[in-house]
Amino acid sequence: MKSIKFLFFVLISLFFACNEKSGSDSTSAENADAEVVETVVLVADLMNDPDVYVGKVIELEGLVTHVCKHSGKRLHLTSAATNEMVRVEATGDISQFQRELEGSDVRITGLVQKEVIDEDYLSKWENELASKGEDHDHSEGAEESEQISNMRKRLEDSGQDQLVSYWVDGTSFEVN
Amino acid sequence: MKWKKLNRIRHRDIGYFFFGMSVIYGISGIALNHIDDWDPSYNIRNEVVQVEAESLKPGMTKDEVLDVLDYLNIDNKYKSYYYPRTDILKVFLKGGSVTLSLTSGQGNLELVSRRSVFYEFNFLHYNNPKFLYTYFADIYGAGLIIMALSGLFMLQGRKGLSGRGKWFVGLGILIPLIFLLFYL
Repeated sequence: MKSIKFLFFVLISLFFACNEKSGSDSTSAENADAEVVETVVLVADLMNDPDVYVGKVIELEGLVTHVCKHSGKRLHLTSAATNEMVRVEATGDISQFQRELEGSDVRITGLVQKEVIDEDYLSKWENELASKGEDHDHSEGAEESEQISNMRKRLEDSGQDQLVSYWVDGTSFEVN
Repeated sequence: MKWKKLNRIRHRDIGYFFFGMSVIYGISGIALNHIDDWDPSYNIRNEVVQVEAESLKPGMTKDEVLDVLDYLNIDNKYKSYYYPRTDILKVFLKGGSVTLSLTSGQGNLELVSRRSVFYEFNFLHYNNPKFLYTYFADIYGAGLIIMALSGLFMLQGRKGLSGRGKWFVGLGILIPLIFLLFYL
């Protein structure tokens, strides 16, 4: 009888715990301070002038052309018209993107982020990948190595010291 | 003694209550452990396909794409399409995709379907429901700790913790420590 009371106590605790709002989500906190762009942004618009949107929360529309097979933590949102693509990371309320999203037109709410890629950045990434060693997912590791090689080639081809990368930290989405 | 009886009852009832969660996490844990060898959530089948190269071109209309799918006997599965490269057409289907070379007409049909049971178990293991489920899964974690601790004191004597139990407990702690020593 006492054990049943204990389980009952656990369930009641669960109920009350769930009614408390968590304030520890860093992405949500970051988004709360960010400026919100009221109009819907298309992938082509974003990539046409991304610096305008960096640090702002936008509603981004595009075609899902790829969902990360292993983690489901990122997807590629593409403009079918111009073929421009932006990476969206699963953050906030999104645990994973399901593979069934590939081929769907979606509207994703998220914070636009910017990263500057140079030789120093790529070297650090390589060292980090190497330190993961055999514990790291092989195919994901190979994918990352290929990304590093591609970025280094792009950096060389550009003839510049740095490349700038943009992505969106998605916090929620809906399928159109 | 009263605490021993309480300990036994608590261990038993928490075990009953979390039976379902233990099976879910056990099965999906094994499935996700081998993610290098298989896709734990989806069945994936690939087939080489061939269409007439003349039927493919840049800037195809939806009707033209549907004609290509019709040629491949793929009905009522169309979702959308785009050109990942100027010479490649990718058509998304309900349950997969087909990627075709505009120059050769050759391509790959990928058929994807959810692995029943595993998909659902992994869905929970990855905490996709979030919100309420997060707390329930946390309580399950705490329940496992309570069961582990209460399990130590279920029996006394030769078969208890002071007897053979200490060797099993020691070995169970030693094995992960060895892995940490070698791989960390």
